[in-house]
Amino acid sequence: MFLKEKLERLLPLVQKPARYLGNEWNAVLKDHSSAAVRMVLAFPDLYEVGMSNLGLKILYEIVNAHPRMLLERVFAPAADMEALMRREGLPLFALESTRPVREFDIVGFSLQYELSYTNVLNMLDLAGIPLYSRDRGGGEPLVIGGGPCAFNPEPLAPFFDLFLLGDGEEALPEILQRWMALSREAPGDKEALLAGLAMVEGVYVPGFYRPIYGAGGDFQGMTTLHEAAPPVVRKRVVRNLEQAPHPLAPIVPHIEAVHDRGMVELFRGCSRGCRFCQAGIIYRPVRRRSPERVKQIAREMLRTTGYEELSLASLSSCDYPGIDALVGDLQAEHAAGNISFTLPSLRLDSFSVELAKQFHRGRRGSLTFAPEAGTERLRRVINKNINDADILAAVGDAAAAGWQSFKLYFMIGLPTEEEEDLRGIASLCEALMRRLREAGHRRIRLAASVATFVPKAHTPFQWEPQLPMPEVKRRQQLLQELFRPLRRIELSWHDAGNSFLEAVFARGDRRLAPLLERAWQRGCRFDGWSEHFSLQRWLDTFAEMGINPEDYAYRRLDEEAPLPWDHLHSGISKELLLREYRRARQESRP
Amino acid sequence: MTRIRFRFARGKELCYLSHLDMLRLFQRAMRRAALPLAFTQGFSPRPRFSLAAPLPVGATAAKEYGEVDLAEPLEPVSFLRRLGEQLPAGLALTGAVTVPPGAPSLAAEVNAALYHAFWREEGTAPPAEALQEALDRLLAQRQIMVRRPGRKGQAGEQDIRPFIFSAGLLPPGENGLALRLLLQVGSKGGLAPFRLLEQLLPEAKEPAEHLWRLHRQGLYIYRKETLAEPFPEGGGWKAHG
Repeated sequence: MFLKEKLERLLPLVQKPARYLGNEWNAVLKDHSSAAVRMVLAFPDLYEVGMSNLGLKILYEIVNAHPRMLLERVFAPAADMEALMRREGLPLFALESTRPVREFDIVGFSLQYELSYTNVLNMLDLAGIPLYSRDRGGGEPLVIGGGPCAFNPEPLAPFFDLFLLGDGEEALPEILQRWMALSREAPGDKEALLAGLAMVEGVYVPGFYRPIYGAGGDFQGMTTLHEAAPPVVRKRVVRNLEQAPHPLAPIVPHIEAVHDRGMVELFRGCSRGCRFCQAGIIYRPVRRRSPERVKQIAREMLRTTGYEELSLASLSSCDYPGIDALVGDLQAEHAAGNISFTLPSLRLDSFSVELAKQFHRGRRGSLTFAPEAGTERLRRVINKNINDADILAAVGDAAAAGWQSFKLYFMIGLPTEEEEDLRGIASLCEALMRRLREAGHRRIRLAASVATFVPKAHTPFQWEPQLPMPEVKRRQQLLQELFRPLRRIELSWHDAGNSFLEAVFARGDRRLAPLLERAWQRGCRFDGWSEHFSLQRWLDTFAEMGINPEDYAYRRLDEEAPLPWDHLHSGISKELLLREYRRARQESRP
Repeated sequence: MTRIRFRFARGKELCYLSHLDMLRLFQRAMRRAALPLAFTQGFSPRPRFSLAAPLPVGATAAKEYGEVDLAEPLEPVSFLRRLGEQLPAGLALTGAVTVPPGAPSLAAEVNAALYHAFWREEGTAPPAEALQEALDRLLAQRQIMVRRPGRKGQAGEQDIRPFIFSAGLLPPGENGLALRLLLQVGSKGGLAPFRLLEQLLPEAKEPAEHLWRLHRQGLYIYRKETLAEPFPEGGGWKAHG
């Protein structure tokens, strides 16, 4: 094939050419002529990042298991590859078949992170697909999106034909079935197609809604433009996770993915109620897989992939009832193969010595804990109810079990934060180190990672302003000074500008869409990657477009006013979020 | 404990994988094949497995070798069948043998690699005579000092002349301009073919990796001007079997 030959000439010239091969173990190459619907799953980040995403693996197997459906993959090409593709006129292609993405029926973007939005536009452009939904006729691919950012996709609204809210394992096959039927009944009639798809539960067709703004530019609500559009779109929920399909033969990447291991999902949702956490809301309710099912999936996945490590994934795997026994059983069953089992994040408050010992047997890595805030007061505000004594005890137990490296996650800029809370971060780390040294543990490494609070849609803190950037930087400096005398403790923090941009888009509305396009035209890509991110380029774009980004990031939203994402229902009512928000403010009082 | 040595070819489908990628790929394929792997001792046990002489990224190869220790005996023929079923397109097993106890390891034996380098872009190749001349001039030097990538100062300078066993033009064929390079590899030092190709055309505007396509014909035990394959039929430790 012509495209394939062109590609083969480019591969020797780029870094990590194996990103673009598509012939990994368990990759599925189906016959295009016998498929009734052909979709490409587009992940707007590098291959290594996208191939670590569980959702991609789930959908890949479900769709390809269907005899008449076909799903291939495409990732954002790295900057060197993009430059060559543009120079040589090579369109964005799907990995498995090396066919141009624009020849597919549906392009589905995985929207995991606000700072990947410019990559979405870049990929559409590289594919030769018109960016705006209104410019795409019935002959162009349908552009759809899902993932956490679909719960406030307004900054992307004009570019997409539809979004899917919530779990995809039942909804995506339904969308594809419906697409097959509708495109047979009324070929090329895009409006009929979208109207038909809007009836699928969880589907949001942004073109069927129009925001209303007041004279002062304030958002006053959404109006529906089509009878097929429900006033409120409710998210899709897979009721029975035990019986839901789980990837059994995921693709084994040739090159090292960010998470280079098998993943077994223990449960979906999180029973905790951290008030800043969007995942905790949008993945509700908690649905578990039984230990028997987990073991069966693990057995099958190890057989089909040959992975030497399996991760028992969820938002909070230590909360899985009977996690100790499950890990013990898995290790016993797979002892001969020296398989190690890991948890993506170990939570301080439910961490047991037994568990620490079990994991120690497998692989020596670092343990990650997330106290989030430096004082118990602030932890009450964010509803992360653990005290310093628990933290000290848990880390002490883990060190006694042989762990030597610990990571602690904190956040600054949380609502009601004061200097005392920052001092609390340093003093907690110091106390930990002292405790460990007193217990005779030398060679302990402690790393504190400090993120900046980003108010997210559909959380109790969605009304809160983000801390202004200069103040974020001042507090980062203060932390740096507080940590300077502390030996063997490493401090790192997130870029303030990055978090600022994330906050702008996390609570953004449709007026940001043209700005996004302009920023992409000015060269913004991979904004989550420090080597590509340029705050100045973004600020220049905001200035050019006459939009003040601070209006989005720094504003305390009116509790009574409609929000640009009110028509998208996460399953948790706004009243409940508001109640939690008010409770948080009560907690802040001494 | 049984040691199995195997031979394989690597096609262009997988030519962009690094040595580490290949180690991972083989280990996972062996686990899928449910081979009775023997593991290293210690804190994180790993399969006792190795591949001879890393292949430069982008190169294809006709005869590569690997060695793996098994905890239980396994007939080479069933090893070939079971592992072969689990290898992706682009890797083909072409032989396996049980290594007799006490035989030297692959890493200890293999010391030479034979490469063919083909000019990638038709029509842009330098004239064969000019290349031959450059080659003659290079080989006539008693020392060829090159800078090793990533190293500074005196330690960064290295004489690569001892690592060139022979180098010459291949007779003109359907693949256009092509070179034959026999270079040292292994624990006593070695030379990556692209480093030599860089020296050959120092004025080239593009990196040697862009100009030449590499194919490794084989890995050998080079002793007294003769090449022997590290495999029974070619000599090696046949005497042991």
